[in-house]
Formats: sequence, structure tokens, C-alpha cells
Amino acid sequence: MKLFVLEIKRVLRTRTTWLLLAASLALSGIMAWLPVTFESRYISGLDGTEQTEVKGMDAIRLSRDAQADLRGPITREQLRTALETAQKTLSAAGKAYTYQLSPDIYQENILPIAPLLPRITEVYADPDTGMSPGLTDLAPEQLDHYYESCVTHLDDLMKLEQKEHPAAREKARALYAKVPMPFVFYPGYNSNAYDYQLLLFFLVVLFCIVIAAPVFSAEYQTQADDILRCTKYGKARLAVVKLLSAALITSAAFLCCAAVYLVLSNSFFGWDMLQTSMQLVFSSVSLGGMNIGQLQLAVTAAGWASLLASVSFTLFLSTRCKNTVTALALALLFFLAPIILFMASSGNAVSWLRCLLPSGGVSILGGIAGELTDFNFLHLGKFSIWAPYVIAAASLIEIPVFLAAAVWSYCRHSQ
Amino acid sequence: MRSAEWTAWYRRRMEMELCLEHVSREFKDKKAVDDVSLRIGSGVWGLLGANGAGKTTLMRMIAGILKPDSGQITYDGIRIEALGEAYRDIFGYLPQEFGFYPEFTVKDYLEYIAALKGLTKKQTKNKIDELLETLTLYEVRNKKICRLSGGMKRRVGIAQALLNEPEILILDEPTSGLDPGERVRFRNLLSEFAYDRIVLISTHIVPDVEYIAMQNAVMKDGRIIETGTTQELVERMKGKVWGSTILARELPSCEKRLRIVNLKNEPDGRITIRYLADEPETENARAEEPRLEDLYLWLFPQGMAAEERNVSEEKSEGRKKERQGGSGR
Repeated sequence: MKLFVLEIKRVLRTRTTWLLLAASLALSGIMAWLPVTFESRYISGLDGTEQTEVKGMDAIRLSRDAQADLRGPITREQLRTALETAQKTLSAAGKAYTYQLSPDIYQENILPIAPLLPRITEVYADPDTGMSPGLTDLAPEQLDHYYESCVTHLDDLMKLEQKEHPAAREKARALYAKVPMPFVFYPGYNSNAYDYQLLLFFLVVLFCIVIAAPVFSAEYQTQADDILRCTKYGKARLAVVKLLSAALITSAAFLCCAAVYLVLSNSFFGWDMLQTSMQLVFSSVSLGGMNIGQLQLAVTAAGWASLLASVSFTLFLSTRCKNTVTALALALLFFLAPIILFMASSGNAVSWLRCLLPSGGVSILGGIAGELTDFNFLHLGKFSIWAPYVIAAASLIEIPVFLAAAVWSYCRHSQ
Repeated sequence: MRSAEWTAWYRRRMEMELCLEHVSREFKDKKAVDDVSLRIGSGVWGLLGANGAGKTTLMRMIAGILKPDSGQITYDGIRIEALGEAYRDIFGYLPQEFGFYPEFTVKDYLEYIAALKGLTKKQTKNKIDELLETLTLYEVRNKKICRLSGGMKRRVGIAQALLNEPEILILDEPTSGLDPGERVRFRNLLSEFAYDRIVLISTHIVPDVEYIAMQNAVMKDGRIIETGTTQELVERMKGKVWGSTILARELPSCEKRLRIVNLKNEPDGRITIRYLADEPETENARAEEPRLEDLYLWLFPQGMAAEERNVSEEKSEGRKKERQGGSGR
């Protein structure tokens, strides 16, 4: 325990470490605030002509107030009324799309139902092309079977996306069967905040990797390990202490940053929106049966697992590299590899690889946050697995594997 | 000490033995250590050899950092790999390159190493205070190691090696960077410390071990070529060390012919030389009392060439001084 405390003190005393930790904490606040600044609404003045732009917290408050009537489970009747209102408004204004409406009309008629409209059109997309119809192309009676249509739409979508993989279609149907219906809505949240949560996790893990990369390699470089490994506890025990302290420091940093971000972000957008079904924010047929609060926690938990897998892998690399530059360069290369692979190909083998890589969970392209709202399945022969399961399982398996490999590698170093 | 305690201590001291049997280690195309066998008992041992002789590799193998390609190292009859933590518990090591954490102060570093050596809180405090005092590091205990002078860093290295009062203490070039006063203090400290312990000092600075080593081993090209007490080794140079006083103009020819280990400018313009040879090779040559350094230079003539260069430089410096009315070495 004494050694553990001293090791933590040692790592925290390194200037790079505390600079990065301080930067992570500052980023958490900045990242929570940035999506607020993107919020913008135009409101009309008393005469109905003058337009004023409302930004930030005022815009969020405006939307929340306007959509207050939607709070709670979204019934078929509410959906039908929303469509009828939208159609009536568009027809009266002689427009085809809501964005063509003047701000005052939009604010009065569309803003209160705005979150429902894309979810309505999406479900009645063409089964062959996947193209959504316009609001004016739909009959309000169709919405009497909205939730049944969601299941049909998922089947259509999976037929388009997983043509060769009936197992994936089955899995998707089984997952969607667990999604609670009717969907629940509480106003305030939007996907920008979700994207920034993902970006924050990506950066914090990046910083943690920079902290972890020199843990062993710096000792090899300065030859400090010659003395350490000749001491009573200088082999396996020291390796374990170093691994645990790195895991503790990076975990604490990650969880602190996540907590700061979530507390601030949810305070800005309103805590009640955590009950909103993720299907009303991302896609009506999103496979996860979670509300926004659960989704935030799932992404945080998966991000933490990915952080630990990435840090464990980096520490393993650190035990293999004789200098810090090589260790850091390799760690960064592997950290960015899922993004590079995502951009390079969407093939099954490449998708497996990017999901299996330790940083796959926090990748800004194809990371777990993205996959939880998407429909990607990985295939192995006749079997198909939803990508988030692969990412989470890979991270959980990699943590002990790379930690054990790091201990083994450190104990054998230079023998 | 009571009689029973003394007997136990004496028996322990007699039993204490670090044994190297046919130890070899090769790096790529170079055999760094070649079939070395050595029995190291308690007391100070000097491991002498030129740079590249294989001393550091041998020490790293004794420290358990490197594994021999062949052969084995045992302590009290048990292989050091099998002893594992128990061996490291009674071991202290100062490598040639003293690596440290740059963010640590002297005290932090010693506390960290003490924890690694399994010292209790009380032992840690007492031992660190004692060593800081003994090695005159107390004033700089709160300074970062990276800001210390070379000599101070070396003393911190020595302190960490002594923290657990090791039974086996391995010091690789421990005095490099120390000033003469520090070297004397260090030698005295070691002599006292080695009372019932094995202390192995690797060096190419012969005076460091000449006065304190009970036994010496001389290493060359990866092999142990001589072992014995300082006295025994010095005896082997009897009749091979000569002194002579020559005229300054004779020096160039003497330098070509002889293995000069020392020269001194006399006030009368003549030069007193000390050289190594199987028989006297100058007029008026007189047999000199050999020293361990003579043996070293006899065994490592390439080392002497370097010494010669130094001597030549000092000689020309001396001549300059002579011209200016002073006297050189």
C-alpha cells in the first residue's frame, strides 16, 4: 500500500501528468458548454415582423417551454395531432418543408412538435430505397399504427443493410423487441451534447495514453529500472503497483471528467430530459432499449472500459519499448487506428479489427457511442453480433490480458 | 558481542559465499563474459578491468538483471533465480549509470526505494536520516536530484544501495564523479560497512580498491585473468617496476622504448620516470615498490597508452611551467 501511494504521488508529480489532468478537467467544462452555444432560435417581435436571434440557455429555455406539452409518453394520438398540425401549417403557408416557414409561424406551430416530426417521417420510409416521405405525403391515419410501423420499418431497414445476413436481421428484431414503447419524451436534449460527450471521452483517453506511455519506457530510457528491479519488490510487485496506479489515476481522471461533463450538460439541458427515449433523439428504430440517462451511463461505462483497455495496452507497449518516444508513437498509432480503419473500409474484417482494438470504444468514428445508435453487425460465419457488444466485450477481455502481459513483459525485460 | 553471538556471526560470515560457475553471456557477436568462475566471500572485493572488459555485464548478471547464457550464480549454494525476492532483499546495487526519476527530490527518491526494499516506516526514516548525514546529503535532501552535481547524484546512488543494509553490495564504478575527499570518505564507509558482508566494487580507478579490497579479481576480454589479495597481486609485479632519473632530451626515446607509468619533472631539469619492464632498461635504474596500479597497467597496456597521453599532456604543461620558472609534475 505504501509503495502504491508513493507511486501515485510520483506519477502525479510529473509535470506532464498534472498539466494533462488539469487540461482534461477544463475540457469537461468547455465540452459541456459548447453544445449550449450551438442552440439558436429566431423569435419574432410584437409586430410579428422583427426577428430576434435567441442563443444558448435562452434558446434551450424557449424550446423547453414550447415543448412542455409533450412531456411524458408519446401516444399515437399525439403523433397524429403533430402530423395534422404540421400538414395544416405547411398547407396554409404554401410550403413543403418546415424550414421554409417564417420564424413566427415555426415558433408558434412547429416548435412545440418539432422533435416528433423527423421520427414520424422516418418510420414511413420507402422499403426499397430507405427514403423518407415528406410530411405532406403522409396520411394522419397511418399514425394510428405508429409503433407497429416502427417494427416494420426496422425489418425493411435491416433487409436493406443486412441483405446477406438473416442472423443479423433476427438479432435486430430481438433487440428491438426489448425497446420500451410508447416512447417517452422530455424536451431539452439534442444529439450535439451526445457528440460532445463522445469527443470529450476521446480526448481524455488520449491524454491518459500520453500519461501511461512513459510509465515503464522512461525507466528503461534513464536506466532507473536497473536499481528498481534489484530491490525486494522491484519485479512483479512493482509492475503490478505501477499498473494499478496508472489505472487508478487515469480512471479517476476519466470518471471525474465524465461526471463534470454530465452534471454540467444535464444541468444546462434539464435533468428531466434524461427520461427521453433514445429513439426520439436518434432514430425511431435505434436498437438500444434505453433512455438518454441510461445511454449516457452506458457510453460512460463503455468508455471507461475502453480507457482501461487502451491504458493497459499502452502500459504493455511501454514495457516493450526502450524509450518514451517509441512507446508514445506506437500508443498513439494504435489509439487512432480505429478511426483510420473506419475511414479506410466498412468491410466485415476491418470492422472486426476496429471494434477489437482497445481504443475502439472511444473512437470518434465507429466508437461505442456511434454504434449504440446505429445498426452495424459483425459477422462470423452464420453468426452476427451487434457491434456495441463486440466493442464492450473486447475491452473487458483486453484489460486483464494486457495487464498480465505487461507484468510478464516487465519482469522479463532485458534478461 | 557474546560468545554465542560471535560464533553465529563468524559461522555466517564463513558460510556467506556468492559463487559464479562458468558464467558466460554473449551480445550479438561479442562475448562480454566468457566462462567466468569466481567464489566471492565476505569482505570488499575489487573487480578491476579496462572499459569493455565485461565488468558491468558480470555485475548485471550478479544483480539478476541479466541472465547468463550459460553457467549459474548461486548464493550460499542456491541459484539466485530460485532465491528471487529473498535474494533481492539482501542485495544492494549501484549501476554504472545512475538512473533516477527527475521529478523526485533526494528524500522522495530514497523513500521510494526504501518502500521497494520493504523497509518499515520507522526503518525508512532512521536509515534515510543516517545516510543523508553520512553521505553529507542532508542539506540537499529536499532538492530535486536532477539539479544536483555529478558527485552528489553519485552519493544519492550510493545511499539507495545501502538503504537495506545489504548482505551483498554491488557497486559499479561507484566513485566516478566524486572528489578526492568524498572518495576517501566513501572508502572508509565501505570498509566499515563490509565487516560481515560481500562488497564487490567494479572500477578501473585502482586506488579506489587498493587500500580496502581484501580480494581482487582482474577481468580482461570477458575473462577473469587474475585473482588474489592486493598483496598477492602486487607481489606478482615484484622486479617489474623500475625508477630512473633521466635527462629531458632522453625522454622521447624512453617514451618509445619503455612503458612509462609516471614521470616527474625535477627542479634541476631532469625527469624521474617510473616504468614497467621485465628487467631494468635504463642506466641507474632502481627497483621500485610495486603497487596494484602497476599490475593493472601491466595487464592493460592499452589503458596505459591513454595514461601516457595524459602524462604527455602533463609533461608539456610541466615544461611550460618550467620555462615560466615554476616546476611541473
